[in-house]
Amino acid sequence: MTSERAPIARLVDVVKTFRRGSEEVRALGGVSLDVAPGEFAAVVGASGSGKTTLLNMLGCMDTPTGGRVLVSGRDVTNAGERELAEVRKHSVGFVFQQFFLVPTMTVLENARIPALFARNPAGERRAAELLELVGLGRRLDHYPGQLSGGEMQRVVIARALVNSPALLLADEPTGNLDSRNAGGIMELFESLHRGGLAIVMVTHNPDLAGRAGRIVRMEDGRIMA
Amino acid sequence: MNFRGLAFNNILRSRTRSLLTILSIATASVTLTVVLALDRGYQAAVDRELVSKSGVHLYITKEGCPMEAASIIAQGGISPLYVPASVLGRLATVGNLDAVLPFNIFALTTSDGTRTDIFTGVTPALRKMRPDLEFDRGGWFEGKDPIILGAEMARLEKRAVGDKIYFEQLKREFRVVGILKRTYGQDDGMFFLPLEVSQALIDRQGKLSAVAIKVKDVGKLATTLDELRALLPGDYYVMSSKELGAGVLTFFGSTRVIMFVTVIMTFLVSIMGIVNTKLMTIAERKREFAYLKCVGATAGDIMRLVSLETGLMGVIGAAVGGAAALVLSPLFEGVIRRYLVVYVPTSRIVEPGAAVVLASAALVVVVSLAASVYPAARAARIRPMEVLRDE
Ligand SMILES: Nc1ncnc2c1ncn2[C@@H]1O[C@H](COP(=O)(O)OP(=O)(O)OP(=O)(O)O)[C@@H](O)[C@H]1O
Ligand SMILES: [Mg+2]
Repeated sequence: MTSERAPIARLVDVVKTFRRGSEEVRALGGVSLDVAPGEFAAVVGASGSGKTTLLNMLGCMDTPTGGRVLVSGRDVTNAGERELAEVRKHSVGFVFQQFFLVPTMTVLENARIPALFARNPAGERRAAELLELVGLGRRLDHYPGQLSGGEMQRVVIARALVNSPALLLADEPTGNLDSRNAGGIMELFESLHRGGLAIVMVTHNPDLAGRAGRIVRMEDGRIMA
Repeated sequence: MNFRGLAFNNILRSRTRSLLTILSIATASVTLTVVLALDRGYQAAVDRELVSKSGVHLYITKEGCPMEAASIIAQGGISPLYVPASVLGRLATVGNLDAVLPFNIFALTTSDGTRTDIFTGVTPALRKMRPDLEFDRGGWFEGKDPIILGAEMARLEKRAVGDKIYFEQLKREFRVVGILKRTYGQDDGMFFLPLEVSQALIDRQGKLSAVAIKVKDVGKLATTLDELRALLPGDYYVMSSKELGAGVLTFFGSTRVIMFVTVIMTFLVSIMGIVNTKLMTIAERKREFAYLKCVGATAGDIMRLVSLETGLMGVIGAAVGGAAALVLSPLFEGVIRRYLVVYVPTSRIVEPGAAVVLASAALVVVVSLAASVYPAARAARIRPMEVLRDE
């Protein structure tokens, strides 16, 4: 696959091993992957094949055991915790299966949280815009408990985008949703993708994966296709 | 919404737990405020009532340690120790004496135990010794069964000059001849009787509790003290009012230690409470902190957030505690008075002033913040990866 522009995230021969007692688990066994700006990729594979670990590497959540990781043109392979936090803050947004919404804060306040840590004063306005975009413009003052699962995941997506990252990483974002809500989230992703956002989404759902522009198939810590 | 808002929200999320933590902080704050106020108030009251305002420079008592003398003079009761009135004759040769007041003092509790009246038998020398004692109404002893009331007693007993007043403990009725102006000293809470009457009431004719002396020249106080000590037999005790005050405070010292130990204990309990609840909360919110790290929160941000949560509870606890201490201080005053042994001042002793309230609030907040350091550090160490960990 070729791209005329520099990739926003790049893994070069990345190896990641975990120690579990005396046993060594090889979660990634030499993975190379480029994520182009504006690309929509679905990561699929059996449980334990290393999908989440791959996403962690892209999202600067952890450092690799071997190989190199570049995000936003920055080599973060040996970056310290502070530098990784910096990259996470501005370059990537995360969406997980769990929502991590603060129940005592309104939808708008929840969506603003990442802006708080980025000391981003425009956070509130941006959060409101994004909530409008994900279709919750009239629910800003509601509390998470008043929303459906699909709506909560929309808040999470708005929250992930509040610092305007170029890359959205989603680990089974529809895992907790019924098929109707899952379809809705997928449509939202597609529209965000059309808006120029790069998305890497882990999913077990082959239908949803088929709608992404590219499928990354994983098996035993390696990329098959 | 800012860090403080986020912290405040987190406090609201576990209401009961936060409330209990705040209550424990408030308890520590009340204890500290009351103890500090009592510590200062007691010393000030002793200094005011026994030393600076008593008008007395020296006391002559019989035998015993200064503390015994202090209890006799200050607290009343009927002490077995007494000074024979004959001692007065010996003082004739001593110079520098302005006023010599032989007096007798005793306290009697009513049979139902609800109140204790302090009676003191005095001579006209009192007026010379205490020119500041003025009559609000009426005047000095005259006629049959006269009694003079301290300002507070007159108010409590609702008596005016000319009224009769009956004491069940003495089975005697007196006639109010004078009511003193308020002095904010121990006089306010006393009943004054002619010395002989008072001696007869407790069958102590010719016997005195002590002799109070006012000197002419305070600069020569030490010389006069020596002179008196040389003059009187070894079983007499001559003591300056400063020594009396110091003696009372020495005795109060042990009470003080107990008080401050109590404060330290309440603080320890409160600190353990904070650390424990905070650690619990952090364990529960582990994945949330990890999530915050995913969105770019640094270790410092998380530390700040957790410290703010605890600091806010500290501020609320300190405020609640300070207010409670102010409101409840009369209650504490009453309880504490009952357990004071040596000398019970008449004026308020537990009256937290602005300085005390602010100082304890500051200390409470600082201690709360200190207690949050370990939990905050634990929270800050949580790695962003933990967000994906299935429990
Ligand atoms: N922190 C860790 N410590 C030890 N082993 C780990 C850790 N994280 C992942 N692993 C192991 O690495 C391998 C890959 O895990 P990973 O979570 O990437 O799989 P996955 O493809 O996301 O699976 P699933 O579809 O179940 O989410 C697994 O064998 C897993 O047990
Ligand atoms: Mg996974």
